[in-house]
Amino acid sequence: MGEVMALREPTSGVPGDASVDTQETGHTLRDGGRILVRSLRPSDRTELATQYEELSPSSRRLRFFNAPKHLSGSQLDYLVDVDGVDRFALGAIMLDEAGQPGVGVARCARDHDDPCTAEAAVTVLDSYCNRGIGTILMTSLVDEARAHGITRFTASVMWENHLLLDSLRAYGAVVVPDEPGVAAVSVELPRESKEFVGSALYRVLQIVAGHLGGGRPRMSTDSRARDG
Amino acid sequence: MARCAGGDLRPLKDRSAVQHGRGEGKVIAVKAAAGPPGGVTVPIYDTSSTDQIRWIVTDSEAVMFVVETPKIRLCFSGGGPLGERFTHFFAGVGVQVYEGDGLTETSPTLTSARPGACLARALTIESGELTATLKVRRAVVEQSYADDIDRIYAR
Repeated sequence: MGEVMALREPTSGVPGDASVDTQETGHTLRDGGRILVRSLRPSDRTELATQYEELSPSSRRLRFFNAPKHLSGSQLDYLVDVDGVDRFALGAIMLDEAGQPGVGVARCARDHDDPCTAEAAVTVLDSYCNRGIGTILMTSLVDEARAHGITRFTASVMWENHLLLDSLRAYGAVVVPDEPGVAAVSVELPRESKEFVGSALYRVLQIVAGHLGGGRPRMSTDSRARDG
Repeated sequence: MARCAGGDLRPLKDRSAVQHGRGEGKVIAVKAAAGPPGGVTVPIYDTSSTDQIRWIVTDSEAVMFVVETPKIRLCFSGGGPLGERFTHFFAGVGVQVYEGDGLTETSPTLTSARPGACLARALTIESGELTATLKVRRAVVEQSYADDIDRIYAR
């Protein structure tokens, strides 16, 4: 899963610089497949809509807490409207497959009341789970968020997602009741992205990802279904 | 129209089946409702054989059955949304239809609601009904649409 190539270096490496251009980074998966991680663009709108419909109803529900068959136009507009300051979204593209399809998205949105906090979500198409894509996306998202002054991720997770919640608790995440059937999770981010690789949270995500599919307990929300 | 058994008809996803007595009026009404959305009516006659009826029920991929009887008080549909035209049709003939929802493997019908009783507008972040990553805030939605929800599940 190590990084093997940087297709294009960022034009600026200044942390917190909103003008930092989108970095495109190639990664090799555990099974040898190659993905490109880059910022989502407005031109990804159509593919986002198409790939959303590839999600299983269960994945849609676990990601959005409901399961509409299609994303609305306004939802798609919002999801590709990334400003690189308060809203970040990274997409994973399979480089070795025909058409180089997008297979996952990680995103976070800064909390207006607490600028150091952002709500995060990472999703991967069902058929591409258990390959390490979610972990790569999360690592990249932590890097992006940290560079822009975000120190804490929050997420809403369904209580039925025992595996993820237990793992996050073991890491030290704060898990409290929120909406009916939903837990509010808060996780402090490592100070540098390098710390994330090898950290307890990183290992937790790997463990969770390793339990996806195959009839085993499946993580519900943000690491197994593509973000819409 | 009565050729419903054997190879005369091939299963169609939008086919609906109609059971009726001697009159044709109800068949015409159902055909009028089913036709525009792409549905095909498959009648079941009094003279239909058991095999013919079994084929219609089990193999024709019918998505809806219309049964005329004065004893009907409630009607449930499943397998997918009933659709606006069918909803209007049943409302017009005075039959209250509930759309069922559930998991076939566990609870065939877990909940039911009146079709067409949908929320008036899309949920938004600005209204607090969605999080910044577009997850539904259930409590906010429940509070915002309390009256509508009561109407959907009203008897």
